[in-house]
Amino acid sequence: MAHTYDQIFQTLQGILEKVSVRGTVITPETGLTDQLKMDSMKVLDIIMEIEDELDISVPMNNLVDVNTVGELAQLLFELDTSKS
Amino acid sequence: MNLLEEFAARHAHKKLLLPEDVQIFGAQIEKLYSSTEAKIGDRRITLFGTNNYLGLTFAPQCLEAAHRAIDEEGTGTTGSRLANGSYSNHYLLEKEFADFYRCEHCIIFSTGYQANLGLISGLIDSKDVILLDAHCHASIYDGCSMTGADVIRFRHNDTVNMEKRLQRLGDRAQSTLIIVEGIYSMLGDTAPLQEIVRLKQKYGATLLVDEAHSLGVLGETGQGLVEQAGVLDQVDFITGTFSKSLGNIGGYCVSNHPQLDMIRYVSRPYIFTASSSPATIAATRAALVLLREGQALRKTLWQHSRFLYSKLDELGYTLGPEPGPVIAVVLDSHTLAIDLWRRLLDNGIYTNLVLPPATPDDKSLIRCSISAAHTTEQLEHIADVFSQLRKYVTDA
Ligand SMILES: Cc1ncc(COP(=O)(O)O)c(C=O)c1O
Repeated sequence: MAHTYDQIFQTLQGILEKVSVRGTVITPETGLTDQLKMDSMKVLDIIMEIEDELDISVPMNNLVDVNTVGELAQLLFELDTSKS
Repeated sequence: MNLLEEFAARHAHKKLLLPEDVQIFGAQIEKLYSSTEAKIGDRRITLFGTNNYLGLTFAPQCLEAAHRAIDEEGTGTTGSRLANGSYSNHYLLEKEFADFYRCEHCIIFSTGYQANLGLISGLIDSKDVILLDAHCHASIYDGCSMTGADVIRFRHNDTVNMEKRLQRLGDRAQSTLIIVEGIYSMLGDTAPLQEIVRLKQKYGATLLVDEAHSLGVLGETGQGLVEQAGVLDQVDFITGTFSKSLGNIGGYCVSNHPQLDMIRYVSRPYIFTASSSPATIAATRAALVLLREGQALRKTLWQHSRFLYSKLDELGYTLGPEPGPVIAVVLDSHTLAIDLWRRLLDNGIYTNLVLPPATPDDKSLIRCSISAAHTTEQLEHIADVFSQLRKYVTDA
């Protein structure tokens, strides 16, 4: 079953809030590396968690243009809807 | 901001991490006394951060072979093998590696880093898929990023997680290269290779094992994890390095697939760089003989590794999951790791400090590498020092 964009954004928000400084507000515009201060490996580890939740695989090479939480949610949404 | 100011701003936080009074990364080694001792600053320091597992860097046979090669063939090859031609010793070393692994084909590269870059970027097309263990070495990640292929990570040593990703790929599993390591460079643990081989066969994928840290360390003849797990014939490609147990510099790839030979014509990290110097090749050939016959060295290495691992474990340090010649002390904070690293050095012991993002799971590591050439006194000394320093490590 595919998820809606909002469901995916909320899942992502939940995971990111857990690993960010307490009280950080996560919006679609939040920057993954510049604002949340995550290094590239941390971003990849978080994606591995989401992959299991959504039952999708996210190729690392698709992340080149992903800078914000909203862009990541959009990528996950597209991969989720295109799964057979 | 101009380009250089942007660069400085991007890396400013890294400088803040590091104390200014000691050179933590890239320490200057003034003089080497042996494969396990050096002069750093004005002090005699015991080396526990060398990857010199068999202690062969001063083996008389290797020194003699290198000296002779310099006299006969000069200091360098001054170019790439494709353009300038290969010296016969380059081909002989390839033949000896192929023979060692009972494989048809071998290519040697100028470094182990380039072996991974060269094989992966040469073999893989943008339509293919790469499935790699999350803890794989940077050379593997860099090789993958040169391909344009879909690169998917699975959780470290988690074959259930790996199989899920193979299932999701459907028919594309057959155009998938799975990449794992024999002994992982950071935590020193081994891959569950038999199960990985079973899965690669079930899904029709291709398998590459990087034996960088396991060559000379695992298996009766030192082939690595492929030998210990009894799966040599079922692994498609093996890469490795001369820079650890062989005490040299260079890398190799062996395989029974005839396609490996084609890599010479399509792989940029093979084509566009100079081949290894005559001394390097000659010393590596001599070291490979010692490695193949090195059962006694391996036995000593493992005794040393088990000794230190169990001592540190008893002291209550958090360690990598299994004993081996890479022993990682895992620490939650980088300040604690830097502090411990400095105290070890103050006590005459050099280890490797590894900080995120080069480490798994955001941890910091004091990485000790053990050598067959360490003496009992050196091992007891490091165990003693770790015991004295235990009080400073509050989150271990
Ligand atoms: C797993 C692994 N592969 C490859 C390499 C690269 O080897 P080299 O030092 O020969 O470039 C290393 C070395 O650090 C490594 O740990």
